[in-house]
Amino acid sequence: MIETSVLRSPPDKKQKSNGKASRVTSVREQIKKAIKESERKYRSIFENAVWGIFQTTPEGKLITANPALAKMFGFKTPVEMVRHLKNIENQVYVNPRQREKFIRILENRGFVSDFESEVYHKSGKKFWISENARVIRDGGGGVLYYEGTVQDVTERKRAEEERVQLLIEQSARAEAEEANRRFMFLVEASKVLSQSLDYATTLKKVAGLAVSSLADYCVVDLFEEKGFKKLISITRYRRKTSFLVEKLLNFTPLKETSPQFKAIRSKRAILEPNINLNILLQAAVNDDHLKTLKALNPTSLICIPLIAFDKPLGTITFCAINNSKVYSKSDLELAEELGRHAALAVNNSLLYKSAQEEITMRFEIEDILRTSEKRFRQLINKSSDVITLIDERGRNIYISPSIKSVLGYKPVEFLGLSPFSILHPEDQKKTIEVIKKVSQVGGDTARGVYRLRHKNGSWKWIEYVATNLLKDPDVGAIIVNFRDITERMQIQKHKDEFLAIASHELKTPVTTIKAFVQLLDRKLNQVGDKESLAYIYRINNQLSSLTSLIKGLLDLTRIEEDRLLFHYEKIDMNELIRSIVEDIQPTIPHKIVINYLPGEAKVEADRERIGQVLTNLLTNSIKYSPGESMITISLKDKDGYLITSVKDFGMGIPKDMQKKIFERFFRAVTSKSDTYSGLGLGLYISREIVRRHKGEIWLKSVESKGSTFFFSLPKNRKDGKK
Amino acid sequence: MKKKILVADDDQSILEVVRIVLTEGGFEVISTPDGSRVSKLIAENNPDLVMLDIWMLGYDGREIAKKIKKDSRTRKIPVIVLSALGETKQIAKEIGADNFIEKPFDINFLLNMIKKYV
Repeated sequence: MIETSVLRSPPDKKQKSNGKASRVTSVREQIKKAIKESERKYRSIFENAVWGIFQTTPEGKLITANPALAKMFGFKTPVEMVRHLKNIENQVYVNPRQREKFIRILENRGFVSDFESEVYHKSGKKFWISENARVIRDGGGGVLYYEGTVQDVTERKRAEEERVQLLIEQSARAEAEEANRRFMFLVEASKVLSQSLDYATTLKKVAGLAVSSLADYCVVDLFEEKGFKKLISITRYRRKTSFLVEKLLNFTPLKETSPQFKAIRSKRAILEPNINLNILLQAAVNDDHLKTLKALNPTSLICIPLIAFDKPLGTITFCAINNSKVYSKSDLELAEELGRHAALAVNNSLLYKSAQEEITMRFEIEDILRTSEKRFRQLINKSSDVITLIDERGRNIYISPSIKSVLGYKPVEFLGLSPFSILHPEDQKKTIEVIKKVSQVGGDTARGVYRLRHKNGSWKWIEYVATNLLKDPDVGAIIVNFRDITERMQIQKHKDEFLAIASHELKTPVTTIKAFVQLLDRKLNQVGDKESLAYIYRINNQLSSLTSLIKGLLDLTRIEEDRLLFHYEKIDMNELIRSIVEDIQPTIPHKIVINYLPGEAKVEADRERIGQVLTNLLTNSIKYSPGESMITISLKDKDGYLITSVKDFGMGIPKDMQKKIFERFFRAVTSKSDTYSGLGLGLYISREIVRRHKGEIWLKSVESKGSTFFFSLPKNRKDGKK
Repeated sequence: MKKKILVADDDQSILEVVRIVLTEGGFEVISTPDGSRVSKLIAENNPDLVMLDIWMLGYDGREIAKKIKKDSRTRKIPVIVLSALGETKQIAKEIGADNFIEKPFDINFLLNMIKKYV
């Protein structure tokens, strides 16, 4: 740095020698001389300095420049330079901000040193300078000017830049080469890894890749629940080394102190640049293992954990033997990258394997399902019965093809129809009730018959069974099976008509006979012909039997076909018993005693049919207690049921017959030939009627003491047993 | 004066026995096996009660009963259905008959029934 303080005091022109005192003069002279000398010396330095020297105002005006500075910037003289540079900031600095920075440092610190900037030469060429400068202040602290020196550092700068450039280029080349090498390796690895989705093959390839570029031998250990399992070892050497590496496969499971275990536990790659005996001891599971390792002589290793989706899969260990290589951090990075690729590949292969297994299983299941589905489809399609599925909103969602043969519609056409548009108006109310009932209770089944209109306009009788499987996840619908029973209904109708006519026509002569017999009975009573009256009594009995036979036949067919119709209403059993007894009492010798139920005795029942049951039981009691004087009818209220009993004091029924007595066509054979059961239908029909009312019928009987027949009726039909 | 009962049944033997029973019971009996003549006979004889069979040859007793119950002049005449059909009770209800008697019947029952209405 150049001391420029002398420049602060330019030659004092006011100093004048007065010559009054020679001594003084002499001193003055001396001083003057010294100053002159000094001035000359410094001026010479200033003029001849190789550095540029300047003075500038803070505003950027050049005040003073030395010839070196002028020359540096391409000016002939400092005068030219000073005249030319009015604004340093823009005229000198390539980057005008440099001047700002220069001033900021100067103002803050009072000086700048080695301030390097790129500047313009007079010719416009750019070159580099280095400045050292300080602030010169007046007595009040105000800035007078900046002064300093300038050095042309273009050469140094260029050399420096070149060096940096060279360094950059060199390192870039090296990095690029390394990166390229890694990149190619990883590309190759990815390619290899993605080629196979088989677990073992994948790892074998990883190991193969590693030994070709990274290691002398490589071992893959798989992490399993019970510990490690050595899977693959590979080496680029043959014979002895290869044998030794293969032998490593036998040494399982790994020890917790082994590098592999450490890698899995820490989930980080392990680098052992120099393997010592201690490491071998930590890894060896037994003496043989240690011997093998010593023979193999691994000297440097990298162990990479294979981790995919945060799950440890295993490790890959790369080893160099006999000091062929000392693994570095960059080898570790490469190995780690390979490990990530390998882990992903293994994971993919595992996923692929399980997906494959799943697919295979799915195919097998689908195959079974297809076969089964085909069988059911055949069953449904070939069935003459129609199967339809109805969803919870009452819409048909499926109909089997047999609908065509039953109602003439193609399945598609039928599904487009509103079911009610083809339902017979008279059956609608009934059907809605059934649907409502069935759709409410899961698993509930309803049967019935309705009429549906065929495509050709005719009505078909359809028998259906509806089952609510809405809750069944496999069906999720109400299944309705139905079949055409029109033909059956027609035959039945003919049969009904025939039976109705037959019954009607049979009753007509019986009516006449009965009336005449009664007229005859009157006449014989008038004349008192008791013998003839006894005959009349028998004729009357037989006529009653004949009448019930005729009625029974009609009922029987209806019971058999489950077509007995009931008209339920609230009836008073007290009243029903009274009216029946009133009708029967005049015609029989027995006194019927009635034990009424106090208060109401209402049940929901078919008055005619229950009357039929009562009449039948009474008739039996009369018939089987000849010569007795009393029959009792009692009513009891028990557990929601009204129990009616009819008791006689006659011959009773033997135990072995009691069980069979309600069976169809059962005939009680008794010792007295004139009082055997006429037809064997009465009790059977009675039982069916009571059962249809959800009641029961039974008897208690002791031979020679009499019989009591009971039947129960639920007061509310909904509460009755099925 | 005896009460007049009109009996219509296509079976002659029934007509006969009913006529005997009713006559013995003190009634005047007008009978016909021909359903088509019922209206005319009602108009001519102004009976106190009509006994009607349902199934008559060539004629439906139900139509006759409905006609009687529709006609303001005959509406008040009690109509008793006399039939061998199992559904006699329902039919009687349907057609607006006053009562019914199922065949075969008890003659006392028949007489008591008629005495309820005349």
